[in-house]
Order: sequence, then structure tokens, then C-alpha cells
Amino acid sequence: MANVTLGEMTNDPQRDARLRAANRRTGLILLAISLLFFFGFIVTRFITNEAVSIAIVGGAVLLYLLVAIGRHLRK
Amino acid sequence: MSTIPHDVIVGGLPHDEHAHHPRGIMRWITTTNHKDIGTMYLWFSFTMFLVGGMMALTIRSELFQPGLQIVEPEFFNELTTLHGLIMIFGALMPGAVGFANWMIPMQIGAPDMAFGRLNNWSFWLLPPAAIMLLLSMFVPGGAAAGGWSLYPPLTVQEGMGMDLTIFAIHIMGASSIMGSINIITTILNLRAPGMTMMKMPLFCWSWLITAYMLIAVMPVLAGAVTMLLTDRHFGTSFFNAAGGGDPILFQHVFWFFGHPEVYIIILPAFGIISEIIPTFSRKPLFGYASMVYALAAIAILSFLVWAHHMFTTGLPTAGILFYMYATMLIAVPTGVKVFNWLATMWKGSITLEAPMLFALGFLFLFVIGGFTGLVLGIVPIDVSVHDTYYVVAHFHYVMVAGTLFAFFGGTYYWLPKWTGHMYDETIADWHFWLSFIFFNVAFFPMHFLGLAGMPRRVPDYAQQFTDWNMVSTIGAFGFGLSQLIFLTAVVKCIRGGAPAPAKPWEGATTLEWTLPSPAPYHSFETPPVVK
Repeated sequence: MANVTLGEMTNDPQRDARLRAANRRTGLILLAISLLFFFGFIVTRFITNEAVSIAIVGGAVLLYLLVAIGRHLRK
Repeated sequence: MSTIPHDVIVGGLPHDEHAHHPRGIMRWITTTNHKDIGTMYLWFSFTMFLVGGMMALTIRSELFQPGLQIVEPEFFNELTTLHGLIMIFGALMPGAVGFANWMIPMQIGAPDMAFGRLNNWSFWLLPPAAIMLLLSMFVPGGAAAGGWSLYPPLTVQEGMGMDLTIFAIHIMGASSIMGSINIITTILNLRAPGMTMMKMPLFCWSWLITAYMLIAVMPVLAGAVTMLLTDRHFGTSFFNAAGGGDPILFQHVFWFFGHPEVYIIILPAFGIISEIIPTFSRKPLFGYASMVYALAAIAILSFLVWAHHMFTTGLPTAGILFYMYATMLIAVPTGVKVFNWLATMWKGSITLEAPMLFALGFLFLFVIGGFTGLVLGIVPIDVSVHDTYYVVAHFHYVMVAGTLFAFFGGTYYWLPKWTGHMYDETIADWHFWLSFIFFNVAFFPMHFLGLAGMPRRVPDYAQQFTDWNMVSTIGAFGFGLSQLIFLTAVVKCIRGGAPAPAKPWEGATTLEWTLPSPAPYHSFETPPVVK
């Protein structure tokens, strides 16, 4: 069982800057993934074999989900 | 999961002196505060719920008896399409995002969402999209009328209303992706010291996984409707059979988005229920880790079953068998969740305030919806009842009695924290019981109608379906009117009522209850330390 206590007030500009940079990095990575799915999905439609194109998109999405969710499960 | 001692108050009133923000309408237009934006999401969601509900009542009025009474068949089809789109993209998804905005920062001990301006944008994209969707009824050719699943070739041939629908979906999709980026970043980077992933409240876990799913499927939907748009106006033939395209391909793509979308809508509801049940059972959630793993399993499996919506399209036998068994498999993690909720209640000191009533209503009715989903997942039965009212009954048990009941429960649960007042328990109880009864009156008969062969999306029907349609329509109006009680309860609570203590629920254990009620405009400027 965990408890909550009042934290000490910290005013660390360097820490804030690091946090903002981390936020930007996470946000940009997620944006890149969504853009990749959007354009990648349309591009794979030009593969004449539908099964292959669906497998590529589906596989990419599943891989992303497994990595994205799976990496948090052991923390 | 983290728990708190009952007497700790963090982030108290002194922080409110920093609440410098514009007044009046500008406060709401320019706000980057997660609570303001959460409030706007929730009111937007409720407004769209009423708009979509009015459409549903028009549909039910037309179906009260056989023959054409109130609306033309073309307009009836527009209503069924818009009802689905508005409820999914306008009511349920924004509702879930509203809860996320309000509660995630407070539950993880963060001062706000990671990207305040992006958060503001995510919300303010929605009203224009909704207006565009509604205005499509008034353009030449009327609104999209091919059902919310937008199947070609019908949607390739429809008028300008379809273009407006496509643009509205693009905008709503962009809003969802922006919201998801914000939620994931907030949870990953802004958790209070000591709040490890496996100490997070389950509501936050459910939203983290939902947001990951949204990042995966919304671009797919956006891609699909973009190709629909180019088929309509730029001479491509992705889905247009006349040009060598494949309409069935659209169904694959749509349901690759559409089935995970069902779980995107229900997972936040699971999260809310997982907060309410332990609180009112006065016991910790049973099997916290297994609940997290079940959420992850449901999310991943939901991407492997899309073709169970397409059993009648002539899929190869091996494919049909795969999708049938994969569909059955989802029952396992879902069953884990239901078992854990029941085990949490087992030997608990249960009290039946409105949030718990809605949670129990959710549990009872969602299980019915889940079981009818399993029935539909069995190929021989699905072929028989495909596109009948049985399907309509099934997904309304999941979407309305599942998600909506959880949202009602969540609203009553957190209203004291949001408003600083206790809601009127009598009114809330009336809201629950009338909703519960009329929901079943409206939707249970649809199982009989579907099994008897009544097709969905028809404005007229054979005489033998009359009685149950009448019952269903009466139930629908009763359910719709019951929601005015909800509005009354919420408005009354906002305007006044008994002052709410910081922790109005004895069994509540998560971080938001360490804040005073109402929660200060800026909370957790000093990060709490979770031990």
C-alpha cells in the first residue's frame, strides 16, 4: 500500500526545461506514428495484392500496439 | 494501485490565488486549463447526446407502427446515419475525453495536461465538425444516408452531404489524435514522484491504452475516408467497382477502425467502473495487475477480429473460422474484468449511492450485451441475424447500458469534486431506476424483433413486428425523458446543495480526493509524493 505525502516545493528551471523537452519529444513521436499510419495506409493501397497490403498495415499497427503497451506493463 | 491516508490535503486553496484567467466567454475560448476543457467536453458531449437522442426518437416515432407516418424513407436513412455518427463521434468519444481531461491530471498528481494549447485546439475543433455534420442535412441531396459505416458504392454516389461528413470525420479524427497525444504524454511524463505505472489508478490505465489505440486507428479511418473522397471527386477507384476498385476492401478498412473503436469507447467506461466499485464496496480493487493485463489483451485482440462484421461478404472459410475464434477469445479478458469487479464486491461493505447503482446497472446490462456479442460472433447465427434488430439490440446494450451508464455513474461520482456540492441523491436514484427500466423496455424487445427477422435501417416493416416496436418506442421515449432528470440533477448540483467535503466517499483512495472540493483551478502545483 502506498501513501501520499506533501512534496517539497521545487523551482528548478532546468528540470522544467527537461520536462518540456521530454513532452515535445513524446508528442512528436506520437504525431509521427499517426502520420506514418495515415500516409502508409494510403500508399499500401497501391500494392495490387490486397492481402499483402492489409498484412503490412495490420502488422505495423499490431507491432506498434504490442511495443507501446507492452513496455509499460512491467513497470 | 496507490491509496491515500484520509486526512491528507494537497494543493489547497492558496493555489487559487494564481487563478488569473479571462472572464466570460473568453475564459472558455482561450482556456488551457484541463478542468475548463474537461467541462466543455462534457457539456458538448451531453448536447450532442440530446441531438442524437432527438434523432433516435424521430426514428422510433416512425417505427411506432408499420407504414410511413412521419418522415420520408430517404430522410429516415439520413437520420439513422447521423444518429450513429453523432452518438459515436459527438457524444461518447468526447464524453470519455471530458472525463480524461478532468481526472487524469488529478489522479496522477500533475498540475495540468502536458500540452495546454493543443488541448484547447482539440476541443474547439469539435463544434465546427459537429455543425458541419448537422448542416449536411440541409445541402442538396441531404446528409449521408449509407449508415455510419459509410459503405461504398452508396457513399461514392451520394451528394454534397457526404463530402461534409467526410470533412467532419477528418476534423473529429484530428481532434481525437491530438487529444490522445496529450493524454499519453501527460501520463508518461507528468506523473507525481513515486507514481509508478503499476500504481496508477485504473481509469488512467484504461485511458493510456485507449489513447494508444486511437493513435493507431484514427489515421486508418482518415485514410479510408480520404480515399473515398478521391474516389468521389478525383477519378481514383480504390473502392469504386466501376473503375476496378473493391467495395469490400472499404469494409475491411472501415472495420479495422470500427471494431477497435468499440473498445476505444468502452475501455474508459471500464476505467470509471473500476474506480466506482472499490469505493462503494470499501475494498481495494481485486486483481489490479490482472485488470491492467486484461485491458491490454482486450486492446490487442480488438485489432484481430474486425472481419466478424463481414461474415456474410463471402470470406474464405479459414478466415471466417479465425475471426470467429478470435472473437470468442476476447470474452476471456473481458470475463477477467467482470470476475474481478464481482470479487471486489464480494464481502464488501456495499452502499448503493447513485454511482454504485449505475455501476451495477452497467455490470448487469453490459454482460447481456457482451453475451449477445458472443452469440453474434458464432458464424451460423450471425449469418441468420446479420443486419437485423438483434444487432441493434446488442450494440445498444454495449454502447448505452455500457458506456453511457458508466459515464452517468462517473458524473455522479466526481460531481462533488467538480462542483463542491453534493448532488441530490433522490433525484439521482430516480434517474438511475427510470433509465434502467426504460432502457430495457426500449432495447430488450429488439432481440425478439431481430430473431424474428426484422431488418435494421428500414422505415417500414411487416405487420407481425408491430407490438414489440410499439413497446420499444415507448421505452425509447421514457429513456429519453429520463435524461432530463439527469440534467436537473447536474444543474441543481452546480447551483448549490450540501457542501462536499474533500473526500465525500468513505472508500475512495485515489489522489484526486486529497484535493479540496471543488478542486482548485490549479491543482498539484506542488507535486505530491506517492510512497
